[in-house]
Amino acid sequence: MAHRLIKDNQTTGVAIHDWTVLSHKTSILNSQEIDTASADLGIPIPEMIFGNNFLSIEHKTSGFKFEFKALPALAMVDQSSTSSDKIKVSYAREWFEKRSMVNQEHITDVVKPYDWTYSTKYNGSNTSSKEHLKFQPTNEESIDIEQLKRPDPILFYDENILFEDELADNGTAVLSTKVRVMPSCLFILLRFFLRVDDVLFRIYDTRIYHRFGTKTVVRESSFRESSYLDTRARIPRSKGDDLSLLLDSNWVSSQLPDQESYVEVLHLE
Amino acid sequence: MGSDLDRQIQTLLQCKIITEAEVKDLCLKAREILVEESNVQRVDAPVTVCGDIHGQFHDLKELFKVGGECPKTNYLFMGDFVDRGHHSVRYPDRITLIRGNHESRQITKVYGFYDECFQKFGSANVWRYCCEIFDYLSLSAIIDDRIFCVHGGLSPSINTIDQIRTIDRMQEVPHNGAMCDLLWSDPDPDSCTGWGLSPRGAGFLFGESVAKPFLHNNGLELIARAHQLVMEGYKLMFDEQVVTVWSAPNYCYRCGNVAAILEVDSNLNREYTIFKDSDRSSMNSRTTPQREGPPDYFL
Repeated sequence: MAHRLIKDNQTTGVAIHDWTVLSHKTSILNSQEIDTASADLGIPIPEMIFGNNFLSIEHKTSGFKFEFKALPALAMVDQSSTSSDKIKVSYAREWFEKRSMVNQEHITDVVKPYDWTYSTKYNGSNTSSKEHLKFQPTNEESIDIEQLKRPDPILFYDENILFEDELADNGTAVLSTKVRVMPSCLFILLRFFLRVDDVLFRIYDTRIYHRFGTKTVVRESSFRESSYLDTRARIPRSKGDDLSLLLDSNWVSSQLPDQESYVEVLHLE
Repeated sequence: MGSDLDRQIQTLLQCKIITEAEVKDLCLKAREILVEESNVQRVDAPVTVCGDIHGQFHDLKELFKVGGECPKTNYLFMGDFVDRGHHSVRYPDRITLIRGNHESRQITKVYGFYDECFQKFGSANVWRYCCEIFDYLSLSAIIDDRIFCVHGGLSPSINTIDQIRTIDRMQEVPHNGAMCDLLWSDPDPDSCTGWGLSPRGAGFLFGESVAKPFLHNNGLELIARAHQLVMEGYKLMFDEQVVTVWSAPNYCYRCGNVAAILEVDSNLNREYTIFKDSDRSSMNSRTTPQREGPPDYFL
C-alpha cells in the first residue's frame, strides 16, 4: 500500500490508507504563553514546556481524530489541598526539622498546593468531529503484541517530548510520545515517566494500536510504580556504581511490577 | 606557567581535551585563587553577567563572540556551568564564577557531568578534581555595591549581605540552610506574602515583599539570578528589581529558547543582549537530537 511522508519545517508525518499521522515539534512556550497557561491551569508550568507540540492521528472516512498535547495533560495534575503532601523529596523531613531550628517556623504555607511531580493520567484528547467516536471498555480486544514484535519495515517513526521537569534536581518528570507506522499497523506510546531521587519511580503508559483495514482502534492504559530503592536494587551487579540505567525509562519500565491497567476500544464507524 | 595556560586554553578552544594531569594542575591553581575569595565577591563594573551555561561549550564561544572576547570584557557567571550539555569539561579566564546548584557532587553524578568525565578521561579523577573546585566557588557577587548576583535567590536566614560573608561555604551544597537557599530558591510571581514553601517539601519561594526590603536594607538596586530557563533569555520581575538571566541557548539542544547576557556599564546602565545557539550546536541538534535514536521497535 502506498504511503506518503510529510515533512515541513516543524511537522513530520505520514499519510497511509485513510490515515494521517502528524508530529509537530517547536520551541518551548514563551513567557506570555506560560503566564496564560499557568493562570488557566492554576499551577506552575514545568520547566521545559513544549505546549505547542503535538502528535495527532486522523482517520478521514470516519472523522476520528485523536491527539496528544501537554496542556490538557497538565490540566489533569492533582491540585487538591493535600496534593503536595503525597510525595516529598527524600530529604524533606530533615529539611523541615532543621528549618524550624533557625526561626523560620513562621513560614509554613505552601503557596499553592499541587502535585509537583506533574503526575498525569492523561491518555490523549479526542477531537473527533463525531460524538459517537468514543473509546469504550472492552474485554475482547487487545493490542497485537506479536505483530508489533515482527521486524516489519518502519515507514514513519518519531519521538516527541511534551513536557519535562527536573523537579529542582530531585529527579525527572517527562511526558513524551513515540509513534511507529508499519505497512500493516500504527502504534503509539504516550509515557509519563517520573523519577524522584531516593523516593520512587512511576510510569503511566498509554498505547494506541490500529491494524490497517480493521474497524477498531485499541487503547491500553497502565499505571505502575515502585520505590527507588527496590528499583535500584535491580541494577545488575556487573554495573557496579553506575546508576545511568535509572535514567533509562525503558529499563525502569522493564523492572516495575504490573499494577493497574485497562483496555478500551473505539469503532471507526 | 603562563604559556602552559595559554596553550591549554588554545587546545580547549579547538574543542580538544587536555590531559588528566593538566586538569589536576589547573584545578590546583584555581583552588589557590578561589580559596582567597569571599562568599560575596566584589566585582567592578563594567561587567557582563551570565546565567546557566550547562556545558554547551560551542554556545559559550558564541557568548564570548557576542559579549566581547576575554579578557577585554569582564565576565561574571552565576553558576551551573556543567551538566546536560556535551562539553562541561572546559575552563576559561578573567572571569568571576559563583556556585550553582549543579556544582555539586550529588547532582553532577546524576545529570551527566560524571559520565562525561568518565567517557573523556577514562576515570572519575577529573570529576573528583572539579568537584573539589566546586566546593571553593564563591556563593554570590556584588557589582559596585549595587547589584547582587546569586544563582538561585534569597534565604529567610539572610537579611544582610554581611550574613552571607559568615557562611562556611567550603563544603558540598547542604540540603538546607542559607547556603542551600542562595543556590536553590526561586522568586514567586504569585506570592502576595513574603516567603512560601515549595510544594516539594524543601526549598523556599520568595515574593516581591521580601525582595524589595532586602534590596532597600542593603542599599542595592537589583538582584540578578539564574537557575530558571526562560524562552526569551531573561525575565524581569518585581518592578524590574529582580532579573533571571539564562545563557544556554536551545537548552539541551532542543528547547528552541534564545539566551541572554546582561551587560552592566561603568555607570551601572543595564543592557540585555540576546543570542542564539551557535551553528555548531544547531547542527548537532539536527543530527543528534537528544534522546532520539534511530527508529526502534518499542512496545
